[in-house]
Amino acid sequence: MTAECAFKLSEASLVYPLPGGDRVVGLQPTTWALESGSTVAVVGRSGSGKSSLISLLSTMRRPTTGTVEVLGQDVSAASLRTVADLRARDIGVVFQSFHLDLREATWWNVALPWVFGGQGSLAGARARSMQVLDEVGLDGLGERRAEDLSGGQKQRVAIARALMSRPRLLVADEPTGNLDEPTANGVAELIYGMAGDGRVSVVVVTHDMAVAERAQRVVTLTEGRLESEVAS
Amino acid sequence: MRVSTLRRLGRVLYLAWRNVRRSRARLFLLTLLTTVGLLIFLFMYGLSDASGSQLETAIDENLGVEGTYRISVQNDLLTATDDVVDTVVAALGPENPLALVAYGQVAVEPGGCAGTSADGLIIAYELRSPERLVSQASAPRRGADADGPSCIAGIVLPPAGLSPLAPLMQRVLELDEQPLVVEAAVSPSIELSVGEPEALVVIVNFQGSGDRVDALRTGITNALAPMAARSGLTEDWLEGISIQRIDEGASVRAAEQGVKLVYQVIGWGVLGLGSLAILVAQLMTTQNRTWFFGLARVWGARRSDLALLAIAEVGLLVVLSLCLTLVLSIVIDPSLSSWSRANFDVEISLADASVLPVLLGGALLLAAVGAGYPAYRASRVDPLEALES
Repeated sequence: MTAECAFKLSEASLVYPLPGGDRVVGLQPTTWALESGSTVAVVGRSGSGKSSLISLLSTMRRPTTGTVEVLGQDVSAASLRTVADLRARDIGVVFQSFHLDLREATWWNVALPWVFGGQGSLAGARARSMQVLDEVGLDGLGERRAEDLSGGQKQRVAIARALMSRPRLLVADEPTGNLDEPTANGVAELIYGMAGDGRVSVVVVTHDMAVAERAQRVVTLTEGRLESEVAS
Repeated sequence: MRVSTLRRLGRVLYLAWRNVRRSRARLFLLTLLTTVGLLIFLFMYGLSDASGSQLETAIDENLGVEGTYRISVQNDLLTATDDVVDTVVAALGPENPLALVAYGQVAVEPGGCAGTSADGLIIAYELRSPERLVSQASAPRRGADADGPSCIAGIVLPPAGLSPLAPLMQRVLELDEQPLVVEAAVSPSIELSVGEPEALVVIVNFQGSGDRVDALRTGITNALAPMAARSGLTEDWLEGISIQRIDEGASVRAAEQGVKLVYQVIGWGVLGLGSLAILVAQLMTTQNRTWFFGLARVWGARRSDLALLAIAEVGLLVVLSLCLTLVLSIVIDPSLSSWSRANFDVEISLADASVLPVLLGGALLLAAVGAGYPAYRASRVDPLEALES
């Protein structure tokens, strides 16, 4: 079962300690798994626990209780270095903000993850970034400075960057939040399309039901609890 | 497959270089500021060295070399002068300092000799160690009086028998005028002729600031006591042995050290201000790029990678400034040296190889202060908080 799962949460919860001894529950104890190569959208209101879920799936946080396995690796118990290597190798994350270095060339923005864990030479990284830019529909824009791109193009660059290391899990946090509807549809199509070959699993957190319904399943979070999971 | 540490380091350095050169105005201003700081630092060190050296020479010439003592003994011990000298030199202690020994028949008036003209105090001197390594001084003959035969104490001396005393010896022997020196070869003849007790003066330097007068007095009187007893001299004679410390520049030397210290403190202070400027600039950069550090963590960067990135950025800046400083110091040095020599009678040098370690130390300070805290801040960024903000 583990080998076939993109991730598997077993009674995993996330609690944030506050100054003065108070605590905020980000995610109630949750058990949930996602098949490899499938797509899922997570919807919910603000404060429903979406960010907590993202932080667990992207391995940026460890669960307070329970366990989280990502791509067969138990990140609850693994060393920080092991988890960092897993992120560098197998996990791509896209955020609502593009977070691009606007004064740099587009290809360098895409190639940046290579600095901290990519394989091969700089020339290889450059070639790979050009290839990924081509895959996201930005063929020929590699040398252009990021500040000269449109909003939709910038988000595509951010997606290309997440795909740079050929991840097996793509986690997107409100990837269309800053885009108009037509552009958002294009970006959503691109993200979900990554799972087309069955190698990449995609998790998209969104407010936008139109974007959510493009996923194979939609999960609703309410007050840190997984409320429902439906096939779309 | 993990990337090797060396390859990771190389990539972080490359990223740092791209980051540094991206903002050319910032790079130019910070490099200029750091270079000026390093040049002022070098200048203050050069000024400190030059003024210190000049002051030391002046103090040595006017107030005596530090740790120098003058020991005067009247040789009426009925013992050969060489034996007395050997005894005194041996009593100087286990450090075996090189001693300057001067012999003289004090207050000898020259007698008349037909056809000769020279007169004056008769002094011979030599350098002597306890192992009796003798280096006979031989000042060059000069002056019309020394060209022909001389008459001293009724003895006709050939021209080769006299030479002017070296100016340094004139000072340490406290003579008002430059006397002629009797060469060692003819000295015994003078002694025999004069028939007066010879005075000997030993000038010795221990290269230290501690006072040794009492220790020297004890050692020398103990050593000479048996000779005095054999000659029937009383203890009063021993008390007459004169031992003086003849360097008078202790307080001036302390002031000189203070002046050097002030210059160096100013130099380090300028460097400290430069460090603070780099620190502030780098902190602002770190603050503006919090999102980048957050993203880097998401991409798998370790805390050490981010700390290294911040250090590398400052390091590259400092290396660039250091190279520029070295080039400028070599270019400026000749003009600065001649200008300072002409205006202040000191030679300030920026391109002295001995300053290199200090310069490297200064550059390290710049890098450490400028990069330390930003590196810590960069490594402590919480990725999710950074990306939400």
